[in-house]
Amino acid sequence: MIYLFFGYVVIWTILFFYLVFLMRSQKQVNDKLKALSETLDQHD
Amino acid sequence: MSFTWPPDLYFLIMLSPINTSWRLARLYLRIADWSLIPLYFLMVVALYGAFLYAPTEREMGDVQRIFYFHVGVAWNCFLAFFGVFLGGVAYLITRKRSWDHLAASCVEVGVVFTTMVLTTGPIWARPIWNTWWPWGDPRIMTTMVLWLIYVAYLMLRSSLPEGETKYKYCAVFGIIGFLDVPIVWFSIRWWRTIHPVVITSSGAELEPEMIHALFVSVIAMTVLCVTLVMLRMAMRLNSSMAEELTHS
Amino acid sequence: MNPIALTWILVGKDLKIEYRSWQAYLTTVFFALLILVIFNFAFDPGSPATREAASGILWVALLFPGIIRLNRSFQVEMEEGTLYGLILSPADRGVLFLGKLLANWLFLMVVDLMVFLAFVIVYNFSFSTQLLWIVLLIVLSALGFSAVGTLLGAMVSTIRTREVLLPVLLFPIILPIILPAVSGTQEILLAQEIQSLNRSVEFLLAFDVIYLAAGFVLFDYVVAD
Repeated sequence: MIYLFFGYVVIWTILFFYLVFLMRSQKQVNDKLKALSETLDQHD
Repeated sequence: MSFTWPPDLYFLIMLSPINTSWRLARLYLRIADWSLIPLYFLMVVALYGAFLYAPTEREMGDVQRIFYFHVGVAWNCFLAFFGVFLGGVAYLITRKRSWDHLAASCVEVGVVFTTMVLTTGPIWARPIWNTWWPWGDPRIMTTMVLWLIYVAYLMLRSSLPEGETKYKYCAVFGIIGFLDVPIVWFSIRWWRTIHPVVITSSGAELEPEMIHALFVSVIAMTVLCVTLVMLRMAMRLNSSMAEELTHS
Repeated sequence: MNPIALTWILVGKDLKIEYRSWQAYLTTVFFALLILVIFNFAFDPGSPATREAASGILWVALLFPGIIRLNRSFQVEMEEGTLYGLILSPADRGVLFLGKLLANWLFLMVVDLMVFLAFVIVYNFSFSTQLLWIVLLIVLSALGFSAVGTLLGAMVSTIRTREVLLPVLLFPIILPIILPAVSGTQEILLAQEIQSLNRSVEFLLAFDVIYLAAGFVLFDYVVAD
């Protein structure tokens, strides 16, 4: 049982860090888009 | 502990003043961000509850522990499908693309969760009832039909070219599919369980620790589902924003 | 224009089209008969187990003409481009839906009844007035099938893979028709005690009503440009 528990905790932690990675990269994309959108607005 | 609103509610609140995709995406990312740490701990607690805290079931043995995640994941399949329905109806009414993003994200997360339910189900069923697939249980059959409808939706989506037609057609199919699910449920309940397979999935006796473990697990899975949908929606919103910017 | 009159005109249009190409219609019937024969080879028609399964075989054999019928009805529209002509008319889209639906339903019923006739003969069931209940089940299920099928068929008609995609989209939705239909048919054919027949009829009626309404409302979104 304990092995199962720790096994799944490890799996979950790995997946979780992947989730965090996705979120961070999406945040970066979002910031770039925001900057781009604002520069375009300035041009208009 | 921070909570997560269902994404639809935030849509309704934020839809009018905020029209820019990147703002909406940033909002979703922020919500998902806040829910990340609680999600991690919820999940670990749920794992602990399922493996260490809950007692071993008398009749079924340790295999029964799958049930703690099985139930949590299963209910989210239907929640996600409701999201598809909501996104479809709202898209047809408002023609705002964000609603299509909701529907598409919910389909993706939903199909993954449904696949997990349909794979953990037989794994659980085989040692207990000596059959991989108990035909005749309405929940199992309805989940299978739900899976079929999800996959059909994805196929429809992938065979249509980008554009308003795609979103409209997918919305229509989502609505039709959603109407179908309760119909399937009732049809199986009334016509297949004449020869009932003895299904007592949660067992007649649930000791209090089991209920606690189940409760935590269901909440953990729900938060996971909502976070995934929000993340996926933010990704779609970002990419649609990027498209818009490159076109203008 | 009076919507009822318009509906009849649309149905008449489809009937005329089909009348002029009755070979395709006959081919559909023949295909369904072939399926019955194939089942005859696959399952020994004499054995009692097959008699139990006979109602299931009937309904499987009835599904395929339905798909062919739907594919065909929209193929004609696509080829001639008549759908666009209809859309441009000031008619309410719901009426368009009803017209297409009624035409599909009528043809499907005719094909289904012929297949049913062949089925009764091939599987050695006796003709009796009880069979009229099965006719009722066929009529109702064909209506539901046509309702969903017309809606989805119109959606799929612009896609290249439409002939494969339509069954993929349609079958999960019409799955709940099969259970009441098969169980009702089985009770009649095997002269069992009539337990669920009434419920079957009610269920199919409810299915039809729900999807008629849904199709009526949603057809607009499917054909508008």
